[in-house]
Amino acid sequence: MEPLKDIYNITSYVDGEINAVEEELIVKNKINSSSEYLFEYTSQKEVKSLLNSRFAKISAPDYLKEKIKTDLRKEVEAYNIKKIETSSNKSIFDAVWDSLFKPVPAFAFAVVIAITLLYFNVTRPDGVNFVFDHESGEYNMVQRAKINFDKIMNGELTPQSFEVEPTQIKQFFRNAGVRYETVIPECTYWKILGSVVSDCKGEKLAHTVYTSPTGEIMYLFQVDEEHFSRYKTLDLSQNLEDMLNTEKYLKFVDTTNCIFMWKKEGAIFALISNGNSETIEHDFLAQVL
Amino acid sequence: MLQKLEENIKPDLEQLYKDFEEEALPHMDALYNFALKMTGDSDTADDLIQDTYMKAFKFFDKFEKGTNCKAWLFRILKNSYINDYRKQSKEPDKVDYDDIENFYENIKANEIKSSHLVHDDFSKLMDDDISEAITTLPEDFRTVIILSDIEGFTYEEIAEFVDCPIGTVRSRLHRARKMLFTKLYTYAEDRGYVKSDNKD
Repeated sequence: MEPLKDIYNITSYVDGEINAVEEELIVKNKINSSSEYLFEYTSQKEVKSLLNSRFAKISAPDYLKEKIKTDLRKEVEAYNIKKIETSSNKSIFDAVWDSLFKPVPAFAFAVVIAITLLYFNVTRPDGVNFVFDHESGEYNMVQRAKINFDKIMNGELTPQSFEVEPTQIKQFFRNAGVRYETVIPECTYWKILGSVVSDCKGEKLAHTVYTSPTGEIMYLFQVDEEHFSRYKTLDLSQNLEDMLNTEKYLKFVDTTNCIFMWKKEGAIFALISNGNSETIEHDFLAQVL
Repeated sequence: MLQKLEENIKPDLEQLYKDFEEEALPHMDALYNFALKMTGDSDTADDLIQDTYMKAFKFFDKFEKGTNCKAWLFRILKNSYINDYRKQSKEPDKVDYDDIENFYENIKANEIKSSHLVHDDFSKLMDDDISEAITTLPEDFRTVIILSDIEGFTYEEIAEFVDCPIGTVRSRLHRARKMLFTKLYTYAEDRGYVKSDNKD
């Protein structure tokens, strides 16, 4: 059998993707001097020409183009109407602002506002409330996280590693077969208790467990995005995926537990805890996000 | 006050729409053609294109101007297809590449033996046969062969669309053609288009 490099060069030749003239000549010579190479060339060329000649490019139908334009215009109109409605309901505060809107006071005011916004952004990340009830299925990440958290609380799932140093934990994950880069956030209030590697459809997934000084548990499950899009190890509802793409983080708090989810640097994180949600937002998420 | 701040922070949607109309909408034909080949159904292709454009508009303010808009749209389309549409359609049966490789090598040996190296056996095949053969390809292979052999995109463009190295595009293309050739050869043989002296 021919060397793979030569075969791939034939593919490039068929597609006109060889830039160097000398290299093209070498491939041509090989095709002309060997029946095996000639077969490779003709078979690839034949498939390519067949597809090219049989499948004409079909344009998007006009009704579809119009429909998309109309729907997009509707989006813009809806936004404009909302904007007009908001601006017509001017409050006294707005009137005060209008009167202040002169170069110097406006600049000073803008500085104050910018500092205030900066302060809030640093000390309180902007989470959005989200109901995770629609997440279902055996391989749904939220469902898996909930089950794992319950198991941790019931003592059915205990850490496989009690390393507390992030570099050691990352090493543990790598050694156990986790194929993606993990993040091990550290926090003054929540201390790392240990880590677990689970197996899902043959893929190894990373989990970390934290504990507070008062004994509450915080469980962090992190999975590389490729496990949703490419490997299909886990899934999420489309709505949740869209929300994770647009919001900084999502949260759900009930009487016993709180759930947080976010996406960062190509990984999706799910956090469940029986601790105070505000403490988690201020002490943990403010550092992580 | 908040309104004023909001106006400063939020992009002007009218302007955004104008930019979107100029940059994104002209690629609809290429996207539609690809969607049609991937789904094999015009209604599903319509929905897929509609979803792709609505999603793209939603995130257009995050699109980096001056970068490849077509590749960006293709990536959204591909992800939408994977997330929403592939679940609805029946996945092709898994292909054992070793089996195909063996079969291909047998065909090659026979063709070389009979000096039947340049042939037009496939030209008699029906369009439906060819479409069916394409749909049986695994998704990654089907994607590159459609983009290359039907849409006429370069390796560099395909690599950007599917977000993988150029070398991977080339090897997938090579394998895809091999699989397709084997499949089409079987069809041609079944219909008696391959000359009997080519057979053992």
